[in-house]
Amino acid sequence: MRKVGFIFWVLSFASSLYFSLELYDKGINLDTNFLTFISETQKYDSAKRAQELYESRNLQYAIITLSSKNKKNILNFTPILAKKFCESKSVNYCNWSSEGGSNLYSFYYPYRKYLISPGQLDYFEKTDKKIIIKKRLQEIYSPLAMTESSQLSSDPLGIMSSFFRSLLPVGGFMPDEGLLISNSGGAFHSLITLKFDMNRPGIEKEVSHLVVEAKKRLALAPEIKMNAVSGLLYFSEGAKQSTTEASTLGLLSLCLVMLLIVLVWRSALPLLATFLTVIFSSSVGFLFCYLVYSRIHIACLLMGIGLMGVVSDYCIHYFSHNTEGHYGLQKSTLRAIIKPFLLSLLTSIVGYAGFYFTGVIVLQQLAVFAVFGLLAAALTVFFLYPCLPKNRKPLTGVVVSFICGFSRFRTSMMSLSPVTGKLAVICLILGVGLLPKIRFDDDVRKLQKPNSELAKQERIIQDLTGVKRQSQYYLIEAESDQQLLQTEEHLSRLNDKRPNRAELSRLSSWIPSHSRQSLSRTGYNNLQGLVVDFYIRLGVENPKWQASRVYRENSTPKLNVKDWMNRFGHLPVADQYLGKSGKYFYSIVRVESGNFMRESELPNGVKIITRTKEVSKFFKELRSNVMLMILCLVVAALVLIALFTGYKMALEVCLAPCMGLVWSALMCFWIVGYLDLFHILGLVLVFFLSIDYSFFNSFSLPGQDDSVDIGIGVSVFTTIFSFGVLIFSQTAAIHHFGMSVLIGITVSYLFTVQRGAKF
Amino acid sequence: MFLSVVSSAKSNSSTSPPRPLLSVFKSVSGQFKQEKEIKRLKLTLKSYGRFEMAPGKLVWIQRAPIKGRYEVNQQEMRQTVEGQPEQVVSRQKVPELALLSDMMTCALSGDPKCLEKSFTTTEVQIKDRDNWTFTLKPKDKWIKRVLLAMKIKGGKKFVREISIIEKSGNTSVISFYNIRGR
Repeated sequence: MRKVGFIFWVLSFASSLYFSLELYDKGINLDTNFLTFISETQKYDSAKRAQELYESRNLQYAIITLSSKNKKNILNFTPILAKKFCESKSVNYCNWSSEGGSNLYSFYYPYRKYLISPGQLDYFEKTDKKIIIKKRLQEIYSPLAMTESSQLSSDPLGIMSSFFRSLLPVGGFMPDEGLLISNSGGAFHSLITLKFDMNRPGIEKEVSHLVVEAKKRLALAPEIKMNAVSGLLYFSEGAKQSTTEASTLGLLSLCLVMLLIVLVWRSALPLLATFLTVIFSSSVGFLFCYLVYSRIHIACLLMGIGLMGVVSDYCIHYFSHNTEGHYGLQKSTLRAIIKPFLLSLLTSIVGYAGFYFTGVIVLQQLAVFAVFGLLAAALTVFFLYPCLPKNRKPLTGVVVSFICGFSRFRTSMMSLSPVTGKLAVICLILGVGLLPKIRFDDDVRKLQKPNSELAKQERIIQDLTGVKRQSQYYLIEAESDQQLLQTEEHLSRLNDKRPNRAELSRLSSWIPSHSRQSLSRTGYNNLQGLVVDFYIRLGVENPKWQASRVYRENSTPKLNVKDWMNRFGHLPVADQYLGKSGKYFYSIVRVESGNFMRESELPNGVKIITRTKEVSKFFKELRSNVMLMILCLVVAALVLIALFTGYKMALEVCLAPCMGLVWSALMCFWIVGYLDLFHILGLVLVFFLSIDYSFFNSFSLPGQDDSVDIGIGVSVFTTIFSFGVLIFSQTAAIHHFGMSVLIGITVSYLFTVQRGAKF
Repeated sequence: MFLSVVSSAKSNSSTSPPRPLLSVFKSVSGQFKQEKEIKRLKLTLKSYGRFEMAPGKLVWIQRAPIKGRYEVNQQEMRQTVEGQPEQVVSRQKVPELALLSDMMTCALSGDPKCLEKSFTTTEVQIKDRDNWTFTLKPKDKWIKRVLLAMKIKGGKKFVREISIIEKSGNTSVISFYNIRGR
């Protein structure tokens, strides 16, 4: 039977390892963006989906500039580099020549909208038609009216001319010798724009590789400087940093854990067993996670690999009891730890499975990873460990003596007097009393700082192109597309009244909403009639038809805004209109400068949207849920243990984990100044690990105090080595996670006193 | 300060810069005809009138189809259109407009030095003393946004025609006649 189990284990191990390596070889789809924490599958309202749609459009672009004092360099190198970019399979569309940039408006303002302001409509409504036409004719015939006459076909009444004039000074790139070139700051700059195929797996890596390759080519001409900006580059840099950290810190922790195990057992066997357990668990966890989600988030990977600390503890507890003379038969070793092991396994599986119901994609991935990883570890404990030989000699050495000695000292200190015995309880009560002082901060921007070099390049490109990164935008929600227009009009009207007028990007449609048309005496038809008269006066052939190209196409009472916008292919306004999502229609109005409107100033149906704010709000909600979950876990553990073993035992088992939770939270708050979701996630792990120590401490077979002490002591140190090193991470989220685990585990270890201690 | 051509070049065409034109008059006046073709509307806008030019000053008096007077000097631009009060625009306030008006003044004067500030000469054709053309491309980034190229045709003494090709595809041809210098 043991042989069958062993063969089953070997086959499972080999196949999981093979498939994991195969997957790694093909390239893992690693998600590194902390903003993607929110999943499509979770309870997610349509406004957020509309918003994501808008943002995903922005994400797929990259702007690249080449700069040199020598124009010839720019003229020579831009086509070479641009062609290389365009050849890449990850690039769907590229533009670098002046031909492609002939409509510069569409490049600079792909999302700009124009809305006739109420003031303008009022003017056309109240002013005599003849005067309007005469004045317009005077403007057109002015010897300096070059721009006015060029807009005769698209803006006959000059309604938008001031709007377009205001666009002109922005962005210095103009067609020059076949390229888009700007001459500013004493240097020449060329422009390349790329659009990526977002469906390609590992697109972030490919984009980063493209830029690196381009920079290598430019090494031939050191006087040329390249700047590139794209959301994908930020993600790629984030991934690089995270994977570098993961490999460095992982290696460091592995070395420390190995050293500890070798020093305690002076044998390669526990080390090998731990190694095999961790490899098997992590590959099974990874495979199942990838099977379900087709991608894996870096945070899940880091926390999932961290979970392997729990798994390696099983091996440590097993081997601390697996000494010749202790139990005689190897089977007995398993029997000695079976109760705490199963309790530990069950609580860990149930606890981690709970993450699945949070609705957060990363935590769902972690749940799948952990549950399958823990099951694989259980298989190893049951089928592999019993086949391994026992230690022939009892465990000795400096490390063992230190762990056992420290454990005894700890217990004796607690048992010294009734006062010291109550110390843990007093500390716990004190800590709980201080908990309300803790301040939380869920600002997602603090979790992952953008790469400074990329941010610098982005600033340079912003200065060159004049295209600022959006700082705020309004999401407009309405029950119909007509209502959508009305709300935009309302918003525009409010904005016009502001002393420092924020530059709202306006709807390029000429069409006021139907309600505005009916309210206005001039309205839509009058405006159009005015253009027909104006065209007649100018002598335009087929004036009605010409005018209808601008206005009449949309005069149907049942106007579909999206259809209308699609007809105007040269005005890329469709992007601004997000269409219907769920019950509602959405559009985005961007604020580019000026002082922004406050939430209270906005009309109904308009929300100020910032992605980070939304995610922060979501994190806050999630953190509250996880905190509630921890509380439920503690209460559930207390009740269950009390039911089977009495309340005293329940209190004894739960004391150390509670101390770890409370004091880790307090100390992290004192160190960082606030707590965030990742501190709290660390606390979840603290609870699971420390309750395991209590289980092994309280439910192992009696008479094996040293084995239990060694098991717990080594587990604590391996956990500290595995998670404590995360404190060195540059990513705040990971750093906070490591910090809360490190403090929590240390505190709970100090208060995990030997069984039978009187206090 | 109207200029005359003193070039006696024999070549039919050349890519070298035009030879400097010499000022022989203190002021010049004449008539103009402007034809502006609006491509997308298949429309030609015609206007007629007179112009007067003196050092640092250009007056454009439009007779038809709208009566108006436009005056550009070194400080400001003044516009008087029938039935409307006079409008005065300071050069500092609208630098783009000032640039365009300077461009017109330079083109009309045919002064290469003045044109070189904002244009690059791309082609020069000198058939004889009475028939020369040079083609210019804007180098000033403001003008570049509006214009693709400009052609100036001239005769023995005066500029005869200015053609402007706009970025929008529209073209303007301004012809000058009955020119008198004093």
